[in-house]
Amino acid sequence: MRPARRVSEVIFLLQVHWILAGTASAATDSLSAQNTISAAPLAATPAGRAASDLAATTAPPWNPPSALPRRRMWERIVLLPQRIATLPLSAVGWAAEHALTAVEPYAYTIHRAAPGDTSQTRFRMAISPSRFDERTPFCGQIEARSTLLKGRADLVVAHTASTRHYHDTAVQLPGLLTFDYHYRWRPRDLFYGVGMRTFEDDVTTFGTGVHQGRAILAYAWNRESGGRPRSNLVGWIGPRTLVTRRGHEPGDPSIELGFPDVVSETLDRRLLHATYGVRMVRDWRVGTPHWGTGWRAVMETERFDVAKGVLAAGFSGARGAQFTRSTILLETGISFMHDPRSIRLLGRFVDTGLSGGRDRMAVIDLPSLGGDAGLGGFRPGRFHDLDLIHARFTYVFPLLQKVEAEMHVESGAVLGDLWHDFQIDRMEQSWGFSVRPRSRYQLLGSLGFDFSRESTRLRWMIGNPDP
Amino acid sequence: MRRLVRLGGRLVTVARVAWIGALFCIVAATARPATEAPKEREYSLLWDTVDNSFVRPVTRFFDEPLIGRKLTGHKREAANVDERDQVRLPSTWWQPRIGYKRVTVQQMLKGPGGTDGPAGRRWTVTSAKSAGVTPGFQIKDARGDRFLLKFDSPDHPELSSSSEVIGTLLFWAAGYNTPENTIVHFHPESLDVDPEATIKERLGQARSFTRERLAQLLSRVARRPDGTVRCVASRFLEGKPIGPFKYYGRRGDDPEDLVPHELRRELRGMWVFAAWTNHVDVRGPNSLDTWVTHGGRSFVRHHLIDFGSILGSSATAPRSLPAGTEYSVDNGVFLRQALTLGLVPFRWEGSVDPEIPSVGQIEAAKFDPRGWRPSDPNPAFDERTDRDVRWGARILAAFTDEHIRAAVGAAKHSDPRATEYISRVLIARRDALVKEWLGSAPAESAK
Repeated sequence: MRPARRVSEVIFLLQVHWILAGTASAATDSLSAQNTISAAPLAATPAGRAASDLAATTAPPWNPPSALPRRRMWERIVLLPQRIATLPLSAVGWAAEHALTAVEPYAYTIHRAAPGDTSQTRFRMAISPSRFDERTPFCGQIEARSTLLKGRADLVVAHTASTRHYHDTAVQLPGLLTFDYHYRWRPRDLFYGVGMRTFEDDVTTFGTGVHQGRAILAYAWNRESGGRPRSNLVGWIGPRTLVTRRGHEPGDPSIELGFPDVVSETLDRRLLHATYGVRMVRDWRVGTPHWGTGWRAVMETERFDVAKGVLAAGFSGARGAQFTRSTILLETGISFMHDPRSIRLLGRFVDTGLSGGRDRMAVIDLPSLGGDAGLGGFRPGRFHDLDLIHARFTYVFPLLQKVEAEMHVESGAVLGDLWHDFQIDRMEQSWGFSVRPRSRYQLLGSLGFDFSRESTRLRWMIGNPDP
Repeated sequence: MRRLVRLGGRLVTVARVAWIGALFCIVAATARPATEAPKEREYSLLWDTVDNSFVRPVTRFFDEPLIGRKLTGHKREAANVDERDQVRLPSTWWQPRIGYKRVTVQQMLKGPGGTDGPAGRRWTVTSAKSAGVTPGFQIKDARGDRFLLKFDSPDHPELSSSSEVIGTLLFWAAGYNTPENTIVHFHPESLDVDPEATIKERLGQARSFTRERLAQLLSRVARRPDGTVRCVASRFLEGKPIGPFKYYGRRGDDPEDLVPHELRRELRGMWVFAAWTNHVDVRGPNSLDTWVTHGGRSFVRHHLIDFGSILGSSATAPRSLPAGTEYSVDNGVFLRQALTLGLVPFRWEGSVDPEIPSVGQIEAAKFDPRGWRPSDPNPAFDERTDRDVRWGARILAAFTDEHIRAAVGAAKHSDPRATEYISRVLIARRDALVKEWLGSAPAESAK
């Protein structure tokens, strides 16, 4: 108690001094003219003064008899409680000012350390926003690059790990034909059941481990001046094994407890697929700092088939469900006024054609809605089924030079069959807004809320939030 | 056992007496007048932005006396004015010139230094810096006077240097202390390198400066068709630099700084000249105090420096369109835009780019003589009253078209369109300010 009382005594005495310092010189506020030369406008002295005294004065300046307080005494008294209450904040401000003053002369070293073009860096470590799941805020990445075949090829090895123990290990040999291997471990994904008529309280959790090797052939054209291709076509082929595990989300039951039927044939069972697919992207969106006009279309189809012989490429596992997943995404936008206000419309359709092994369909292979996947007002993985329909209307408008706002409304549903089961009254809605800092040329991140009938969710992102 | 002593008829503990004594010692030490040069102080650019754009607006929002003053229309007036509402003189901040004395165009062009920049044809580089978009050199001329050479960005030749010179002359004529800035052209071969010269590299390390490094750095600056380099030669200010001043509070170690800066008429009224010249970067870090000794008397003189970011320039590029119409973080604009979903156009939307590279982005048509704002709130400007602004407007009204055209001409633009355009814009903005605040044409107001 005694030290606390000492501190309060000192604070009190300082405040008293602060007030009294005002009274001592308050009389000078009236500013009676003493030893003062007055600057008279030319109108008052028609002849003007000699031009020789245009130089800065060297005479002692006019000053009141004592220092003027910044505040009158009544103002000090009124502000006293506020000042006492905010003393800790004042201390933080004082520390921040002095720290920045000390650090700023060396700030250029920080600018130098900022990541630039890292495509040719031999070894790199980075901490960045997570690439796995919006519930894992940050991830760390280690990447090493080595030159092979007398400089004709680069071998890239990277490992990424996030705060919820999500991991991704990648080995890539880029080139005209890119060889790519990934091992992904996702221990805490959420599952609420299949279809739209599921309940928030039925949440379960599951883990997934995926090994995938692919040979990728890509072709890009319609390059804009900056080098970014407006059109590209990508094809790939390779084996994949997948295993569904018990979930590790604290507080939520594991999937085999909530939905034993869904995972009866897949839990802890390594499933093997031969995958091959093609994706075509046409992207004619333009505008800064956010894209305002144009359109983009993404068409993708991928077959998950029985892996035999060379297609297995040494991978082993039981036969999984055979299916073809087709995705179509269409987006367009218009903008108006000088600092662009933009209206965007996005539509996305996913159709899964199941041709065999329905009971061995892995949960991770089901399209889902919720979180970043669409319907942001619902938790990630809130809805799962074979097909999906999702629409989003977005309005973007500027708030300040370096800040803009985004508002959106989403509607979507997962379905057993997009073509036969679709009913508009089964679609769920979500809406939200975000504030997005921006530079003159690009977006730097976003922070906002999404709402749905189930929850209000804080959403944030570092980096360009527009895909 | 606690020891007690009698103080003012009351028994108090020795410890408490020690506490009170220590406190008064601290107060006495801080209030002691300085007998030597105040300590040089640094100023964080980032803190200046954080403080003025985020911290101060919040504290002002909860400032009951300020709110009371606003509601009752009793804002606090400047503290260093006399009964005729004029700045009490002498002042180490401001000197009455145009509007108070006859200042001819020739006198204005001579400005604070009265010379034409570095003397002689060969100059010696004494030090250099490589950080930033453009390098900078310190030189000695044939008389041994020291100058700082500042260059334009190669992408925007003449933009920053012309703003620097125009701003220097106009602010000096308005009464403020400024350095002597002159446009000079030189052949790179006319620079010698002092054997003792050093360069401060990007990462802060100092190295010896060589002729080869000089050639490297000059390859980063704009060249004229005849091979010469254009730059601003800024004469070193008289006295010892002791860091920038703040637009609020007092400098505790300057015994002659007894009026809080936000209560100074010269600083509050400077809003007029900042608005006129679009000096959106008017903040503490763009000022410099020097410790001057004259006739046995030493004192602090307060200067405005760095005018490279006024008019249509943002130092290395043209000004952004919103500059001058809103703060970088403008709560009012934010609220308006949020409530109207951005459907109300910004004031700057519809501004026209003059498309003259050495002018950048400035215009008179969209200029708001009442609502102009710097990039970050300025504490002295925030406290300004109509009387402060009218004080500045009366000085502004005394600037003739000839003064303005001569100041712009001193920038030595190679494109005559630039000279004409900036002159026209400054004349139009002067007229708008004078009409708004004095209610009459400049010629009449000046009488």
